[in-house]
Amino acid sequence: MKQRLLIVLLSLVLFHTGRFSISAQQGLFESLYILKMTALVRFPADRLSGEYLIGVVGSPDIAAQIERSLTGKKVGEQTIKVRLFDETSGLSSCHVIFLPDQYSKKLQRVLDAVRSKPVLVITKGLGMAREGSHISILPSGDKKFEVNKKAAEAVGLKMQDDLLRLSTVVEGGGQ
Amino acid sequence: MNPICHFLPKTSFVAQTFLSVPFIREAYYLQQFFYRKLLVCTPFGVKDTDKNVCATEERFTYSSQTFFAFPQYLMLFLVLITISFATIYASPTLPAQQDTTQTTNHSFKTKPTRKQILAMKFEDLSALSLQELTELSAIVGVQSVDELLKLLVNTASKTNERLNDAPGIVSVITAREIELFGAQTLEDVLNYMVSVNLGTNFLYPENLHLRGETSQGLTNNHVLFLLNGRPMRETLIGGIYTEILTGFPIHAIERIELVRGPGSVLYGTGAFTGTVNIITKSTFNTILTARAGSFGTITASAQSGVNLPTTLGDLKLSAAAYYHNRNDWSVPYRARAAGNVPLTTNTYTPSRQALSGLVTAEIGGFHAQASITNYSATVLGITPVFPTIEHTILSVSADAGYKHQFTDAFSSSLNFTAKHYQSAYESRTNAQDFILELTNYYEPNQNFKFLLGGFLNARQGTIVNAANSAIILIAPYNQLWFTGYAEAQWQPLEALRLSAGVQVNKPELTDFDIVPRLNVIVNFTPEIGLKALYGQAYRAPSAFEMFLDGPVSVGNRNLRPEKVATIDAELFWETSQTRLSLAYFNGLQTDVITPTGRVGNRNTPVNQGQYQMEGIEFEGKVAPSNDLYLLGSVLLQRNLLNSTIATSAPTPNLTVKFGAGYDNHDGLSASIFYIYTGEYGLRNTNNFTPNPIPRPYHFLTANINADIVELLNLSGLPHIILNLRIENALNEEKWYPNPGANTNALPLSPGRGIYGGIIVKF
Repeated sequence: MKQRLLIVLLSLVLFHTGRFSISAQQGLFESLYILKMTALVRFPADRLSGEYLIGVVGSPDIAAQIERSLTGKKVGEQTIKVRLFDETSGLSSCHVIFLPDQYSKKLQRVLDAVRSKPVLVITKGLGMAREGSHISILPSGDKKFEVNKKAAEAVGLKMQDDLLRLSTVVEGGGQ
Repeated sequence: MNPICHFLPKTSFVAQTFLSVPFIREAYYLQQFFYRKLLVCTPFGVKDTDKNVCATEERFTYSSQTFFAFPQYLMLFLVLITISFATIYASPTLPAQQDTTQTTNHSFKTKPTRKQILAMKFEDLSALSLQELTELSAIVGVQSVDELLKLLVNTASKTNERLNDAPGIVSVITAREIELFGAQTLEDVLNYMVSVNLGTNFLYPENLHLRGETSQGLTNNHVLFLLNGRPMRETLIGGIYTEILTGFPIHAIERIELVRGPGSVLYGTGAFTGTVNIITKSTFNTILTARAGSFGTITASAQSGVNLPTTLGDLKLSAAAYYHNRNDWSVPYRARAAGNVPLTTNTYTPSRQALSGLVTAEIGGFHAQASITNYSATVLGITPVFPTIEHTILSVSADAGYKHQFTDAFSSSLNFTAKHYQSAYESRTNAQDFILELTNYYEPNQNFKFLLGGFLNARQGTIVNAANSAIILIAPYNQLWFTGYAEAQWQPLEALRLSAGVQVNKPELTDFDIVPRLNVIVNFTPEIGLKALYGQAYRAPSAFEMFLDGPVSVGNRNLRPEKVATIDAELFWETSQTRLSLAYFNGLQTDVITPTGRVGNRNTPVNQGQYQMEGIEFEGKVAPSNDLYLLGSVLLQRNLLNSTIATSAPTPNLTVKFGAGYDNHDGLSASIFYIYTGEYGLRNTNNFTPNPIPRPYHFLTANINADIVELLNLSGLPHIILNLRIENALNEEKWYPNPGANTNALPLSPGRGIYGGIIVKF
């Protein structure tokens, strides 16, 4: 009897057909964070015209979510455009690059591709900003972001105090 | 009153004479208790030494009132003050808009529910400030998959790194998992983890063993517990964590990292079969809980934290208090009554109670923490015989540290760590351990890390008879240990990571010793990788093993540390929603400390014998959706040496664990957790089975949380979560082997229990 009960319980769980949508809210808030950060990071004057390109590395799903949320929105006078990048070529034309956490091992290649260019690199996870990304969205904790202010300033990006106040400022990444 | 020693046929006349004196008899029981487990399994066969133990009509009891003294009240006072302070300052609503950027000002009068947030249009959300969005995302819980699977760990190398890059076989359980699967005590939490097996004994009712364990010692002296990376180690008896397993405030936990295998290179003695690192939240969220249910169980907790802006950065203050009591679980039990030869069946009520406090503070590079636990349990005692006695423990673990970043590449941390331990039942134990540790971190580039550190460990303590403190079992001692360690990590290729470490240690009275470790991690693809590890660890002899001076047993100041050399290999596969791990281990323990020596008529511990165990561990975590979460593990292990020692491991040969949790993120979550515990190798060989023989068992737990604020879409209220928990739903009997005593087994946990509670989160 006990074993049958156990089998039934386990079967109910294993054959659960609940909502398997991959974290729609997650993509929503990532889009919102990126949108907010565009307003809280000041770019050099020569990047304030033309379209505002946000590159998403690796993940078509996340790129599609962000594209749905942000395409057509404006940063100042610039219209946002979202593009998926499978490789690192062409990344230097972006204003913002978002590197989803499952592609975090590509960070160094991304940084190499945009070295010295005013491109804001946003990652996810603790420790990524120490490795050179400019802003990293943290999964939990008191501070929601880690920012590498020095690395950003080294490429001409200026972070505003409202972003720094919500963030842990770290260094590293050979800026 | 009558110390009749007629069942001491194998004890010498001198010993019998000594045992006719009550206080010496108690001392004798103390020794027998600690040696009993080791004595029963010698390389020369099984000896049922408990037949030699004289039962007594008179059992000294020692009131726990002695321990409800100044330190605990002070701690509780601090906890209450901090919680009150934090509750006043912690706003349950979103802060008023302070953002001066080009976002619209939105000032939430009350905290919105998840449904209200998800009903908002993107345009409305995008008009909020970044600060408001971070608050809302926390309510929505969008990071659940990340929190469960995408973790950084820091126990294996003392630096933050990804799970797959850590030079060790590491498992993690997070606050989210603890909440989903529910738990009453830290012991429940750890029982969800791979390769953890619970045990019990006559004096320390809460106990656990990790994979590869062969020691039948009554304490956890082969597992090192850390609190935020700092040791909570006592070295008089060695490895007593029973009070922490019952009383640690579990809602303060951010995650627990379990490193299976040797950890002595960085952490020293005791990190032998594994290291458990309890990592608390940097600032505790404000939570009040209360739960009651079967077996007279009552659990209550309160915690809070606050961030205060200062010129040095935020001052983070947190405090937690926790109470757990179970006093009405009774089981028919056969043991000798005091002074009676025949076994009788009595009602055994193994009640337990713990009251604990935890305080943490952090500002800039400074961090301080203090944990205090007052614990008492009703136990059968050393012999064991009826009537039961009360065993009380008071332990304090404290640490103060400072980390300074000198340059981008170089930083140092200095820590002072203290442990106070005192206990009483038939004897009174008092011990302190102090550690002064300096660790230097050098990371010139992303491909190279170097760690260099060392610590001084001063220890002192004594054991006296509870009834007559003039009777000294261990004279006051003072010892100083020296330890130095270094480890380098190098990543020559993107897919290859190498590390090598070594520790030199010099416990007082023993020679210098060295333990090394080597690790190779290969990533075949970004998702698949392999770790190959070789490491050694040691356990320095406890003060009890070195300095005991009793009528029947005596310590040995010439003992060498026990050592283990382990080979581990782990194949892992990780995607955005899945992490699977398959590991192999093979550990050879040498210089095992066993009480098989003799000094005159007295037993003495010596380094003798070896164990070897190998096994396979599987662990999987899958989050197929934002609603559903699955985890499971399998441990299959065996003894390689065909000797009496090696066939008597206190851990089962097979353990299977499976958990499934569902969270609809609209206020309802439910989970089940199933554990199968297989056959124990450890058992009486003389067919003496007055109590049930430990058998494999199925342990099923169900947990339901209903957040009525979310379910009813009420705004402006703290989260009020109703909890229903069913433990041992299949009502299985759980017995744990304790061979060689007056009995063969002890009850491990009660039958089916139903518990209801309320959790209020501000």
